Amino acid sequence: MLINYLKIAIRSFRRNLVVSVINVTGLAIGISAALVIYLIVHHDFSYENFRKDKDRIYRIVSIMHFPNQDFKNSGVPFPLQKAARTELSGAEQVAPVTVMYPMKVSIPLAGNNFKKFKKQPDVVYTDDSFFRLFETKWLAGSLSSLTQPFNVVLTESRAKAYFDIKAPQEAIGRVVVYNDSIKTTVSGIVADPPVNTDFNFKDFISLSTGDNADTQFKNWNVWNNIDSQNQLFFKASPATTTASLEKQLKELHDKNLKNDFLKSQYLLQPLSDIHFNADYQVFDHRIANKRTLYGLLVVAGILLLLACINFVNLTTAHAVNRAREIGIRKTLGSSYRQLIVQFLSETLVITATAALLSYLFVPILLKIFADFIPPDVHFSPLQQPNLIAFTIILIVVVGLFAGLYPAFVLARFNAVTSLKKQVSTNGKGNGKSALRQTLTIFQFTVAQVFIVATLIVSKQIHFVLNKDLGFKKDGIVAIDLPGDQPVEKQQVLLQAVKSLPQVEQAVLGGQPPARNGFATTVIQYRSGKKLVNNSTEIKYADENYFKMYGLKLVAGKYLSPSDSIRGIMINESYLHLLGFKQPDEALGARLKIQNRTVPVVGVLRDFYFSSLHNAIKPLAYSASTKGEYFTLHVKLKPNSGDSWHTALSSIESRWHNIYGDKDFDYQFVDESIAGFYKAEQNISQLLNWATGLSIFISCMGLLGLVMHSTLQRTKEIGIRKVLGASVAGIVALLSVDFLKLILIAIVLASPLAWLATSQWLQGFAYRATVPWWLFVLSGVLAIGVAFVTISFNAVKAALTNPVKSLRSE
Amino acid sequence: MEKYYRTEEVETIALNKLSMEVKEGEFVAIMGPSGCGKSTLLNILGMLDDPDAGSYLFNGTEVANVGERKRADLRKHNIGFVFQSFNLIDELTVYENVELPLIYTGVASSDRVKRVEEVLEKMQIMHRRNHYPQQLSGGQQQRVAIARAVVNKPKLILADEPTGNLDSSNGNEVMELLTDLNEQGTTIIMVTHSEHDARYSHRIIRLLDGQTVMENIMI
Repeated sequence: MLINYLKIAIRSFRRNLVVSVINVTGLAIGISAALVIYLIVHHDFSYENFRKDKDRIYRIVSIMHFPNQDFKNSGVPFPLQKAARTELSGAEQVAPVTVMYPMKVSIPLAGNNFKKFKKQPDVVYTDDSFFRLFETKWLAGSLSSLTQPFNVVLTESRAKAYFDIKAPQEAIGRVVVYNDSIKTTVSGIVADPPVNTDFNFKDFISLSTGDNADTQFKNWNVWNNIDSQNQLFFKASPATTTASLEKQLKELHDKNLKNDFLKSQYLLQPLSDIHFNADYQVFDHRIANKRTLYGLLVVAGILLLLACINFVNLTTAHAVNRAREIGIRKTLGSSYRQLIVQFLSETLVITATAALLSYLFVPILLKIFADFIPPDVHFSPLQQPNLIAFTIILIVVVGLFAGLYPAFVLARFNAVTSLKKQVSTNGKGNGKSALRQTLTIFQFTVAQVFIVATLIVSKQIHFVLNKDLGFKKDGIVAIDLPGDQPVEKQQVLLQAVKSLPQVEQAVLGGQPPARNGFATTVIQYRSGKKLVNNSTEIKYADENYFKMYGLKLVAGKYLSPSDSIRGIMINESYLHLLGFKQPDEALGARLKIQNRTVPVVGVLRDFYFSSLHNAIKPLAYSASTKGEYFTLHVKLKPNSGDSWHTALSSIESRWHNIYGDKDFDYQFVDESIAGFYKAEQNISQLLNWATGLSIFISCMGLLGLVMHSTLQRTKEIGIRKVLGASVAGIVALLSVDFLKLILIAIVLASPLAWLATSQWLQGFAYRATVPWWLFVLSGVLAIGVAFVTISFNAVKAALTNPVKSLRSE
Repeated sequence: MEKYYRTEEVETIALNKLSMEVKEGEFVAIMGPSGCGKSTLLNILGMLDDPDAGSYLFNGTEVANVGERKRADLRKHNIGFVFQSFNLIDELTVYENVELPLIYTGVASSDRVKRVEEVLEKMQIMHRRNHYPQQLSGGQQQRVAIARAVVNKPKLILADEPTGNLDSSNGNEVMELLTDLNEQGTTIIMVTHSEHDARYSHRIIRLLDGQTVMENIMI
């Protein structure tokens, strides 16, 4: 029986090729999107899921309560690492991990030569407790490999990168030198971690190495210093509650921090939260956003739904073509249930074909969204049984969802009327016709919401990227200077760069006016009895910097290099916070910064020094205390031909003359500002695709319905033409009913789109206006696309010779 | 039996207290002008439709107003249909069309091959077994339809103007086939406009306005 159904399905597919292609293409697009999104979502949600007792593993994190804001930090004070081990009851395993910035690695070779690696990431200090907590397969060595100082355990891949070895055992006893000073011996090799973990460290230096006088960690005994480098993980015993652990952590804090100016608190972060919580860093790894993941699932669901709607609409519209077959089958004894099974089988064949086709689309989509997709997400179905299982589930669910209603409609046809071809699914007032209209309205409502959202998001991105930020940013390059080099070299480089013909201006300074990352200090201002205590961002610069960036002075004077201890500049927001109305009033006000008091010597006009998501906050500028800065700011002359590229090559060459093989890192200021909005640009790219695909799927469905309607009205078109109707009149006749549906969709979609985008815009402190004409423009776009789709077939029908139309009827 | 067709404003009587009996092994022709109720009667006899009033005893069992599943079951085991327009499924080959009733009655695959080939041989259409209906002449299509009607060895064949779309030569061949089947024991009820075809039957029932107006016994 099933074979018979399959035969019919395949032959019907060929016979109704246009409808079949529309159905398969729409479903293939929806399934492709669902598969790509499944790969992303499955990858991110699988993080740490494989770990034994994962529900009992936590990271201890810190929160510092500053006067006007809280700061969260993934680290803990160094001494807590040891104290937790001895004083925390209910912890089955405590694992301290000190995460190092990329380190220089040297491997001694024969003849006093070295194999060198400039910046090796994923190096940590830890001990055997790490491997007890995060179970790892040992390829050589054992858990005791990290008990001695100056031992190192490597992952297999890292060992192979360092040494020319065939078996892990061969690496044991070899020497690895970190940062030219920490000489370690390889004491163990472990298997590489899976891709779905954030704990993918490669070099594990024994923690006791850090206790050695020569290599001792900074702040190893300071409770008042919280550094994200020092992290602490533990596994709670089954009977221990988080409340009891947090209580113990508070007691530890209170006992060791009598005078905590950081106002810190230690909290427990579950292992399952680490990959998703942007409040705390994950060793500088990518953090997944659950809202984005859920948003992606919604997009996949919508695209699948639109494709299913096409299927329902086209199948019920064309049902009359199957009427005779249904009549025959019923006559020959087919039951209602058998017919339903038959039509569902056909739907499953179409869905399975679409799924196969989608396996061709998925690699293309993964390439298109490469910037957006986690790098470890890959598509190799033969090695991913879960993907195959998901595809099968998708085929069954989509097949049932799209196929059930049409199957019921078809199977319910009366045998006698079917054989007489008196079945109709198109009459006005016919329930099935009304359902199709409703579904078409739904499709275009979704498409219209996407169109409006795309336009509004694009407008906001254009707004944030082009808004006057209150300083110059175009053509300015910020070059990081090495911190471990004599300060005189900065001046030598500055002069060398200034002499280049492509350079308009060059200055030394702190960070550019706007950049990710910040440092705050508590600043106090007392006026009589009033005390203003504020955690304020401080930047470092002097006069040349302000002039180059065009930062406007509204009172006082710019800082000169000699002002480092004699003055400070503030912005207008800080001025208002301090309670002054006019800029001049703030001049001379004395601010207490740590142990010194400095006067305000100048007031800067407010400028946007962080992303436009945030309102402008109080800001202070100070000159560097020793006249040294760590950024060279270079304003290039307007780019002509390849002049900027030449300039950067020349600067790099001079850099290496002065700093030898130190890394030359630079960033254009405008590009780093654009980086603030990377997430929004990703959303915009995703929306563009979602919009394009939803319009495409909806228009394909519309085309199928128009073709069917045109076919049904062939005789009417012929008669009207014989009676003198024009081509435009016929096109209008065929279009008007469909365009009415699009108009209804526009009316429904506009408030929905406005609500959705308004919520999204709330994430910005500064927003582009959303004018009424944008909704009109979106509507015109939707009508235009729909009209072109309808005309494609309507014009052809209108141009057909009426004799032919009437004869075919 | 009575049967009415109703719209919002009009009620049409299709069968007006019609009463008839067909014995096992009979060949009955039903004749009458268009709209007299011939096809309605055939649909009810074929259990494709229900009478609005009255009784229909099939092989001694009351089948008027039984459920769809029961009717489908009785139909597939006992009745074969032959239509004027052949009603073959275009997407299936000759072989597959004939095989279809056997699939619905759950005949095993190996038995199906044997029985389909047997009936195709008998209808002299075996050489066309892999062709699609559109690739056959009208006469050949009707032979396939008859093959499909008899493959399940039904007790009753209902034929609705079986020669209506055929030329006289093909028409005669079809009537010969039906006569042969009847002689082998199959009961046949045939609706026809053709006096020539009706003469192949044992009895002609003439209808007018949904009632039996005359019966002719053929000698």
